[in-house]
Amino acid sequence: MRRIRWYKIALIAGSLLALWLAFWSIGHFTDPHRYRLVARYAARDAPTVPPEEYLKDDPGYQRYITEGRPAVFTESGQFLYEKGGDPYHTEQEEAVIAKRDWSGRRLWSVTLPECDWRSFSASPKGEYLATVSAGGGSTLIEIWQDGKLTWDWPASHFNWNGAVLINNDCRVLFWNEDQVTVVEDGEMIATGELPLNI
Amino acid sequence: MFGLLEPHSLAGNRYHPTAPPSQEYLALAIRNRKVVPVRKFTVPNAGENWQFLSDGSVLFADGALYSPDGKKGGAPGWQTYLAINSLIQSSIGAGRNQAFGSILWNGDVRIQYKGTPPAGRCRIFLPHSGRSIPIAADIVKIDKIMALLPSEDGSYLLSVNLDYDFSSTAVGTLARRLNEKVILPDALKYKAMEGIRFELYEPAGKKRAVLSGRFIAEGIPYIAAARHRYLPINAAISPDGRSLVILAQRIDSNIREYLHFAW
Repeated sequence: MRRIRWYKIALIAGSLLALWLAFWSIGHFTDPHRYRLVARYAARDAPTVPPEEYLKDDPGYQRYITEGRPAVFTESGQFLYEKGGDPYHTEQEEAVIAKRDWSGRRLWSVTLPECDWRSFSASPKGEYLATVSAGGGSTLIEIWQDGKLTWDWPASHFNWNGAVLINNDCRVLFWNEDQVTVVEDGEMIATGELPLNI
Repeated sequence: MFGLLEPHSLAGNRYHPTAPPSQEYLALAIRNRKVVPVRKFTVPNAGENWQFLSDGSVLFADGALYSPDGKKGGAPGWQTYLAINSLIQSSIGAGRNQAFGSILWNGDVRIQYKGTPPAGRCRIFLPHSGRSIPIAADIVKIDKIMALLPSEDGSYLLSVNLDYDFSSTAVGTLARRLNEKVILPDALKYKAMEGIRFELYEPAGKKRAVLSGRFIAEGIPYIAAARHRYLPINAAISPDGRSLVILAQRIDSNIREYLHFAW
């Protein structure tokens, strides 16, 4: 009876393994990589029925319509996303604004209680966030730095129907149809009439 | 809304009226607790197809770039687009090309085109440095291209392709002729083919990363991730091109999610 030469089998198996490794490594360096999922999270609630104005233009593709603002990107590409609350409607609803990096990691988040949340603005570098909410006939502007409340400013005299901007220097500028106001460190530092003469 | 206050001007903010055809805008300053205009900057009337860049420059569709001090630069003669899906929408018109939504984020980098798509030359334009990087013709001429998104440094391009030619198998054709009375899984009714492809290229043409999906029904592609099937809505690539974010909706519900991919 012929004796089994285990070392020969091991040699053949080893050769096959080396061959496979060689091909795998060639493929590894030449083939394109496969994208792999690293993070996922819910976007803002989508409407059940897309608005009519979208459907009339492209009736077959209503599934693809993006409603509202899904995300607000900062200058550096990091982005904020919102869940709950809608500055375009006046629903009493808790809102969450979170800043994430491109790998999906949450850097900070701000949770706003149920209120008449009107608007928000992120500074271009994404460090500061200004939120505007209304309730009881007054308007409150709150400034957040890296997710922590730094100062607020009750704009009770301000008839809110406009927009807000916050800069990298934490200076907040908001305006409506006829006036512009600049606030810094919780104090109004300047105001102006709009439209400016040009 | 009377206009728009831009946040990056020399004085901190800028105001420009939105009512066309005016193309004037102002830098604002604070003097004696008053917000006052300090600079009036008029640019040629070029319709509405112009954009502010992050440093306050104004980039026009013809490639002209006006810096905040009024100096003209850029690359006139090159049609300038946010990305190739805006190119498709403006040159070919509305229709199914609009199925892929607006780009989530694009930064300041732009796609420029010279000639008539898809026969002309295409390149990446980096406005701040004035540098341009030619894009291999093969990437632009890929059939059924929906979007081409450059990374912020111009080192990568994300190409989104959708194959509209959704072909049926013989069994599927037979089932359809029987007025769909025969219930079959989609896998038997349709040929297994890639419906949508997200491909990352270097501008010279080397393919670096791939994400592909199939069809769930005619003309409706999906991507599979985390045991769910998603309809891609729109996408963005990170400034360095290493990450891909897709906004997608689950097929079986209204839930929309951001999906972060890496390679």
